[in-house]
Amino acid sequence: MRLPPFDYHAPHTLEELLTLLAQHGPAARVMGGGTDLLRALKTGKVCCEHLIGVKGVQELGGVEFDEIQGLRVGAHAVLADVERHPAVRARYPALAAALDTLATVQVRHKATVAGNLCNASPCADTATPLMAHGARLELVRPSGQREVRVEEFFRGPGRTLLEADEVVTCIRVPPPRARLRTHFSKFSPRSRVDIAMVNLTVAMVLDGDLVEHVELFLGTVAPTPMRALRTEAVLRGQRLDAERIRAAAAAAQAECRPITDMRATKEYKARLVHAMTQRALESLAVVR
Amino acid sequence: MKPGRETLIGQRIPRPDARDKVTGAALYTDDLHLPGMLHGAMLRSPLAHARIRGIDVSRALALPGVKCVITGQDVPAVRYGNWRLVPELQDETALARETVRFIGDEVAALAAVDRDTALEALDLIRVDYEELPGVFSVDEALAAGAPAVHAEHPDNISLTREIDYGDLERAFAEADYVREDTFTTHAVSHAYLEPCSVLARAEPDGRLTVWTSTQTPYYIQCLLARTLGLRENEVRVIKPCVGGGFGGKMELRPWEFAAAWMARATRRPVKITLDRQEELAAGRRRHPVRIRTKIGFRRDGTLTGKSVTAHLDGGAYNGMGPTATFLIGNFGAMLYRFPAYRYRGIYVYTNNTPAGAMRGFGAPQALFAGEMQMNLAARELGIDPIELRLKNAMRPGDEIPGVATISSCGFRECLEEVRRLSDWDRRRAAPQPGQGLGLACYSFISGGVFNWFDTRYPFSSAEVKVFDDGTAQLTTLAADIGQGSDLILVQILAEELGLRVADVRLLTGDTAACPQSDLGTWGSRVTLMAGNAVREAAREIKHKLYEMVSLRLDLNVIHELECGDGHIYPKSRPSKRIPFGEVVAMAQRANRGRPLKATGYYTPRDCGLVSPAFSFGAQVADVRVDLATGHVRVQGMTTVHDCGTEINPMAVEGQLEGSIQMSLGYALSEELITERGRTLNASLLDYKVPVAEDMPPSRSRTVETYEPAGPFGAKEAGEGLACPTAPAIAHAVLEATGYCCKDLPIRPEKILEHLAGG
Repeated sequence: MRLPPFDYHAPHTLEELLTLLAQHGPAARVMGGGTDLLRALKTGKVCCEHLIGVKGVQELGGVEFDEIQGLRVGAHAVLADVERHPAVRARYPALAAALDTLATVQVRHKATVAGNLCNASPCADTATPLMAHGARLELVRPSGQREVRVEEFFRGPGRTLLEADEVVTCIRVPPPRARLRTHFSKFSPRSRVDIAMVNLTVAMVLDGDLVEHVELFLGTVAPTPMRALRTEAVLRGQRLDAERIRAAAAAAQAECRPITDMRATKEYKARLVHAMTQRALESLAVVR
Repeated sequence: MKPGRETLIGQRIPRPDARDKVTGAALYTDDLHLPGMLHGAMLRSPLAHARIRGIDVSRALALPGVKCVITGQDVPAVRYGNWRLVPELQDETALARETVRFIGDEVAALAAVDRDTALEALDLIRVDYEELPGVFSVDEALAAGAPAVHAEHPDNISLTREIDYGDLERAFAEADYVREDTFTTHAVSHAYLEPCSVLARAEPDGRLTVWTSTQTPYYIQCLLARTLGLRENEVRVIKPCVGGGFGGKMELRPWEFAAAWMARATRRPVKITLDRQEELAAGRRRHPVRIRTKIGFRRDGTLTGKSVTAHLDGGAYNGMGPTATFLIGNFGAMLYRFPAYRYRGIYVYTNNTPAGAMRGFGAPQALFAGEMQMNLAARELGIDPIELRLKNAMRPGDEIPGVATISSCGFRECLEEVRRLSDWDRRRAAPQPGQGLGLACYSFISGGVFNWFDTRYPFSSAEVKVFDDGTAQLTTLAADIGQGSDLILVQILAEELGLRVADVRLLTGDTAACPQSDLGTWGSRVTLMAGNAVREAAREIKHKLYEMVSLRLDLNVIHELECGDGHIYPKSRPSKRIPFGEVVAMAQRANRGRPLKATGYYTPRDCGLVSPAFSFGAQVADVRVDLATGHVRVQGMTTVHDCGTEINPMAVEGQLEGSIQMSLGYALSEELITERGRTLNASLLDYKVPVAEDMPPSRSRTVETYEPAGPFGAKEAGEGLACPTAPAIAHAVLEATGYCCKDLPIRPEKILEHLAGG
């Protein structure tokens, strides 16, 4: 398939990038690894007059961690670089686990975390672990800079709150709070190289067996990755015993909003949410 | 096997092509480039059933770089199909003329300077369709007043096939236990690694050369010649490396015709390579079948009889469907002694994507139904499933009246051994929640004796030349499509001539250079049929060489000679050996220098309607079902099979592993999901072929049998193994959860629905 005609720009600095965005705005698309975008262009699902590749913009690269700032993932850092980073493996295991299941080795060496988020698929594997870790996206446009939480970033399938002249520069993940436990899980028919039927991340701090802090995020079961607030409410401040876990699993099943498609019925996906939530909580209860 | 010397038969010899294939050096059709080559593409119908009112190709033709556009109006409407024996069954033309019958039906083809231009031009062809009502299931197609897919068949029934023997009414009347079940199986894709590709070149003398990804170069040669209006010998078909076929590449296909036609029209080579989306949406697939089966037993488990009715959803054209319709009936009668059996197979046209041959060809469907029903009967009779089978198992010499006679048969030994190897008795005595063992068995053909293609040539041929440097050359049209048959044939020749594998050059895959003929790769026929042809040629060569040795050594007429270790010698006096090449030189000198060659042939005769030989096997699946998600994890597969002599155990193991992978998908995750004829999951993202990590550990054994009809006692190991896995997994899931799958695949949702009491 032929790519439609467009002008390709490869800026070297953020300033050049912003100038291009200011110039072309709505007629431009920003490309990270291009693993989704190029195919969408070829099949006509997306069209643009200007394609701006960001891999040459030095400010947008790198994966760094320090105990005060936490993790910074540059907008063109590829999934494999993040997955392999020792701090990610040690401090953000849910994110590492999600990256480990995502797509194929080849795609992980091409695609970016920022791209995974900007693509705004409800089943983006990096979304729920980043949300559970309180990650924020740093967005820059010619008129200024802002930071938004990942959960605010999604607006619907394929839609984000990025403005036409705005670009993601990096993802910042705060250092995990003390005693934080996280759990990522993904269900797909194939063990590997598959898209999630349901994915989820739980982040929790336990004080003894009391739930001091909990956040639960579900993927693929709503138009965007969603926070399961009612489920969290069932758990927060409560004893994490078998009965509570069952109640939370039931709450998660009730509050998710999946659709029926060729992959599965909505009822089945909700059952999966139940089973996976229960298992995630059980494993967190055991880990302490 | 010959005692007293090293034999190549049964040696674990790695495939010589493996390195090139895994490093990407091997050349497949799409890797070939010719100067001035054009790239073609097919325009496919977006509608499942429609009349073509007109086609406007002017805008496509006007696009710079487009060199040729053809529609059904531009080419002769020659109907073709593999069933040359019954021309009424040939119901396809390369390009639709008046009617399209499925989504993806080929309407036009074009060729341009590059692929992008070709694809762009496709969008510029305007087709004026008048949409017609369609039928998308067997029931819809058979309903009164249903629209006809083909006007010649107003009832949408293309054909019926029957098998009938014994007194079935009495069989059921005498039975203490009768059960009737209906099973349905689904459409799956071959999902071969290499999508179809063809490259055609018109030769200056008017002849045609075609490189194509095919299992059957000879069929392509004949059918292309007919559709193009050429004589057969004017078409040369070359088969480069082929990345799998599994039955999906054994018919002439529209792109082969289109590339050839356009190459002749433009005088430039034309290549057409399909993409995965086309393959999944419009490619052939395994027949979905509904099988109603009734079976009777005496109280002690002895079978009294069985009746089977199968409705095949054939899609829009016959393809290989008539054969599948018969084979389901044949496979339904295999494995056990049915004193009475009745089969009725009905091939139904629908406006779905046409089905075709696929690994096992009728057997995966017939055996899913048959083996699941055996397991259900065993439960209700309170008899162990292995015991129930042992009681009724076929034995050597058994006959399916009028259909087949079983020669070698190690089925009972397979059952006994799989019981031991899978720890069957102990595991079943101590069931664990969510876990289970399941059993299923198979029998399969070693090549088909049917001549639906109506060839006038031998089924297999092999030419052997030997040289005075101690080497040999084997030329045959037998088609290695990835299964490794090339090495098997070389092993057979080297064994016969007492040479090393490295001493034999193989020339293959060229209809102009190979002896006429070979029917190609299907029905697990190559080892037995081409192997026998190789042996016949080798024996003729040996006969000539032995004359020379007898003369030189002035041997008493009672001496037997032997080839081994690159020499020829009297069996009783191995030390008086003469180098193989020297004997060849002697033979040449004795014949004024004429090179020494011989051609061997094989055509099955007098061996029933089906096959000269049958393989058997039993397989146990060990599964763990996640009771919360319904996810099935296959933890292990244990297989014991009877493939006669293993020529190369590594090749047999490769077939077994591939079969398990393929059937794992068939059982659990693969399914072409369609809606009113449209395939919804035409990508490998949503068509779930299992990956390496899904593969269970596999244990296997072969039982020792010797098949007199096969070379060195060998029979098939390529397709039968693909049949028991789905029913074995389904049985294991039944044991683990109580959920009995009668409609493949075993989706986790179905298990959960059952567990929820739904």
